[in-house]
Amino acid sequence: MTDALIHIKGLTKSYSSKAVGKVLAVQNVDLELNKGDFIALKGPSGCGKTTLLLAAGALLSPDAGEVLIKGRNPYKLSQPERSAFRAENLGFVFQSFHLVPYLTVMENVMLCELAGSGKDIKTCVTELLEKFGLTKRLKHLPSELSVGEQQRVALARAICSGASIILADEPTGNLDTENGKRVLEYLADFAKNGGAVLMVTHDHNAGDYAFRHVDMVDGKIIQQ
Amino acid sequence: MKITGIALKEIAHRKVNFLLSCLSVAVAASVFILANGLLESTSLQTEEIIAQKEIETRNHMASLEDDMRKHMKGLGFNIYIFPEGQDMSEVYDKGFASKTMPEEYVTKLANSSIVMINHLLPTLTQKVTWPEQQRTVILIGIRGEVPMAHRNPMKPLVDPVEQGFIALGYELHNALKLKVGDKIMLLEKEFTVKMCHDERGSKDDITIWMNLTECQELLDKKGRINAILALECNCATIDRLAEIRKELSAILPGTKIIEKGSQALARAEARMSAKQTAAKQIAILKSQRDALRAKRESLAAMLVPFIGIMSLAGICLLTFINTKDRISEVGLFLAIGIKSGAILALFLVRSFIVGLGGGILGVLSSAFIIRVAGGTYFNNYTVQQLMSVELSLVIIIAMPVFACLASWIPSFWASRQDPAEILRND
Repeated sequence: MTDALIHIKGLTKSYSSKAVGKVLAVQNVDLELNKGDFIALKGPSGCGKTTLLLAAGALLSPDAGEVLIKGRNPYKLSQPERSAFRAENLGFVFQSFHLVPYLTVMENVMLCELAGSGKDIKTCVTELLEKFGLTKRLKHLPSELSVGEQQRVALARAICSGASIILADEPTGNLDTENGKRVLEYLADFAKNGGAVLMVTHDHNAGDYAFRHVDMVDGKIIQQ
Repeated sequence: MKITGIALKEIAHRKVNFLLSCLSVAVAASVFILANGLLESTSLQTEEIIAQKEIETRNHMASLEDDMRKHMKGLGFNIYIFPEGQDMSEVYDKGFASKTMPEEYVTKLANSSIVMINHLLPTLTQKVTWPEQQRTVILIGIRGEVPMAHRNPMKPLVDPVEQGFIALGYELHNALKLKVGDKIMLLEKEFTVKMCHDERGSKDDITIWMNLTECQELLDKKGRINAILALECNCATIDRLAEIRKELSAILPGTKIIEKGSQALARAEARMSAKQTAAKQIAILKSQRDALRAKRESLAAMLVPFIGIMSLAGICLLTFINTKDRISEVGLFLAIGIKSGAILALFLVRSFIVGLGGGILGVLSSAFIIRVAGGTYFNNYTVQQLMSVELSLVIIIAMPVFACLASWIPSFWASRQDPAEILRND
């Protein structure tokens, strides 16, 4: 048994497409994400970063190898159990924010309630949105926010679920430098406060905030 | 956060899709209600026509019945009772008897327990010369009906002629240019014309009817009559004359009895035939109504499922478009741990609201259409007559279920999506 929050061992994942046939997206990858870690997963487009992130997030079943999150293999759980497991342990941040367009800022962050954690998160949400400078935007729709504000809402949603792990896919990809910096600072804070962050990024500046760097090329980790 | 709250917010956000979905449901609901309304209006109208026809037929038959009663006086199962010893060849030759019998005979007959005769008319008939006018006439004295003692009173078939009055046949009043109210002398006695009969083409045209007592006085035959006309005889068998003779011989032995006119049977048959024709007409009308209804029902049986399937397909397609629009949202929901069941519920709650809205819209629009186009397509029936509250409630309750069924497949498909696939492609 390992103490790592996420332990990936020998992970291999391939895709089949009619155009190019079988594509090996990730090959025999080992990776550990520990408490307090903030890993920046870098590499060129198509090198398998997002596939690795999704597999680490209990969203993409590997062809071979094993993913253990807090010592449990989520792919051995049933679909509803895996959903509950994800809701309890993982928070996601995406490049395109994935905010629900017809829900207000407050409602978007409160969405994780629907996942059924059963915890009262209203206080946490209010505090976090205050910390992220969104107090005056609580009743605004995503379309009424700047992109920086939208990403902060997405980040608040990921953190408020009570998850100890945040998986972020290009979280600063659509942000200007200033907003990108703020988001990275929040992620670093999260890691320092006992959480763990695995972030896929192309942004060289983003690497400056991460505590560890992992480079991938052609589905393989070439440097940790 | 509640599923219903999210569904309502989504509806407010995607109004066009929601409205189109509601319209699909409303069309299905309206087609069902209006098809039912059309059938109902046809049915109601035919019922009304048949009811009207039945009333008309009943009234017509009642009137025919009354006419028949009167016609039967002259034609029916009627008999003449002539005095004992009367030479019947003389009766057949002259049309009346030369012999007379006591007027009491009729009283005797009326007070007897005879059951086959309904009306009794004593008469005194004689061919006389009308000296004042130099012409031969048939004089008939009548006193009206003699009530049957053992029966309930019946409506009289012949009204008596009052003393001092006469009724004239066509040939007489026409030739003498007499009219009702005119005074005229007959056998040295003045009479007032009470009635002028239409032409009958028989000896009635040269007949004068007067009060029996006056007639007896004029002919010097006080207390005598030469015939009793017995009307509307009730006979159980074909040999009705023999039946009546048997019964009468016990009361008035020796009297001669003949049946007056065999046309009665034909009349009765005609009456029966008229009755049967009317019944046939109603049956034909009913059968036409049933055929029309069956035709409309078979049309509705094809049209309603067809429109239902089209609406089902429309809702299914619109829900599929909605799920495709929201696929990124679905990916997020699944990624953050919202269960497939909750996502399915989210779409089905939306469909339920669509069904409810569409059902209400369908009921309201159907009521509006019936109100506006009632005169043209619904035979002027009202919304209340064609759309029951029960039917409206059933539609409003059934449509959400219908919409949920229609959207089940795309909703289920959405809830079973692979979040990784969605997020990776996003």
